[in-house]
Amino acid sequence: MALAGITDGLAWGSESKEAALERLMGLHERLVLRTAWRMLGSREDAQDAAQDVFLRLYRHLGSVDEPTVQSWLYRTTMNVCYDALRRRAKTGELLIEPSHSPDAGDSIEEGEKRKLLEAGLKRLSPQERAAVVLCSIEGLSSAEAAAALGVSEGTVRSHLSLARTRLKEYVGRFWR
Amino acid sequence: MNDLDQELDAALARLRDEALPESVLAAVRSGVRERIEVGRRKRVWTAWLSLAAAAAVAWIAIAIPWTVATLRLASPRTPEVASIALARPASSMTAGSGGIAGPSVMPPEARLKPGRSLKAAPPREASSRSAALERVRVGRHTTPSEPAREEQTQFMRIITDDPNVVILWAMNSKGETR
Repeated sequence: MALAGITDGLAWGSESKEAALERLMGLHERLVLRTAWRMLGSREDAQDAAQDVFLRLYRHLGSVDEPTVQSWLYRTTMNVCYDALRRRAKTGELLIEPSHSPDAGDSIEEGEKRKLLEAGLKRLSPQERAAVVLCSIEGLSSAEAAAALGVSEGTVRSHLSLARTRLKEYVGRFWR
Repeated sequence: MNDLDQELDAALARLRDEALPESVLAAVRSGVRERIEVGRRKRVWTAWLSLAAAAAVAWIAIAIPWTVATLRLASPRTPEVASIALARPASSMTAGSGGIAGPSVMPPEARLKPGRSLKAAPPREASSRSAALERVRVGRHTTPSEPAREEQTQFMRIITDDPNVVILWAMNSKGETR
């Protein structure tokens, strides 16, 4: 069912549009925030990026089909994150904040491993990080990731292979 | 796939399953709602400003031509006066010489009151001061309430060398002269 159908069936007022947005935010907010957080490595930046993504969804509610909304959200999230990373590169901003502190239930070893993995992710290029986030963390196929990133499947596989090699080199020094 | 690969995959999968703080999700939702509301208010203001600007432009487009037209109707028109320099001075004209063709020609005798003689004028020089005085002014008086062309009267004032002698010649459009 197209999102346009949701809003077409009701009055063209802002309420129906907002109701559709609320429902979609409830369904997909974790996906968007998690992806942005892994891409940007900062909670505040991830919040801003997620807000931008949902505002864009609000503006394009009539033109996005519901079956493809998840793919649309991944693609938009990646675009917003790329923009944020470009701005960060221009201003020379350094990112030193860890994305998470270890949860209380984690063992010290697990918490340290996660910190190392996050640090390794930050050392990757944006394209390599996007491939790891979409394929290895979010579990998308190469084709789905390629559609979200607007590149070919071969490019995604290449970035993913390179990223995994670099991650293994980085975390392998500490994990063993 | 070696152990490090498996360990890496497991660690990446755990990142996916990590629970996100509810406060962060709530902050995202409230931020989106707030920005939508701000955008809506901005659109309303923009619409009102556009409306006000359009009204101002429309008022200017109507009021300025209307004011100009009103002022034109209210102010009396000044008579248009055309000055024609004669080819020859009026005082040099002699009876029967036919100095100027058309209705503006008058015999010198007709322009003089009885008992007054026509003085002989000196030869005209192009730069003499008397040349400025020897002009025939043709005045055409028009008013906004001028009813019809048949009633238009043309006045001709002929200035001679004698400042005490001014000849006024009136002629209406039917050719009647006074």
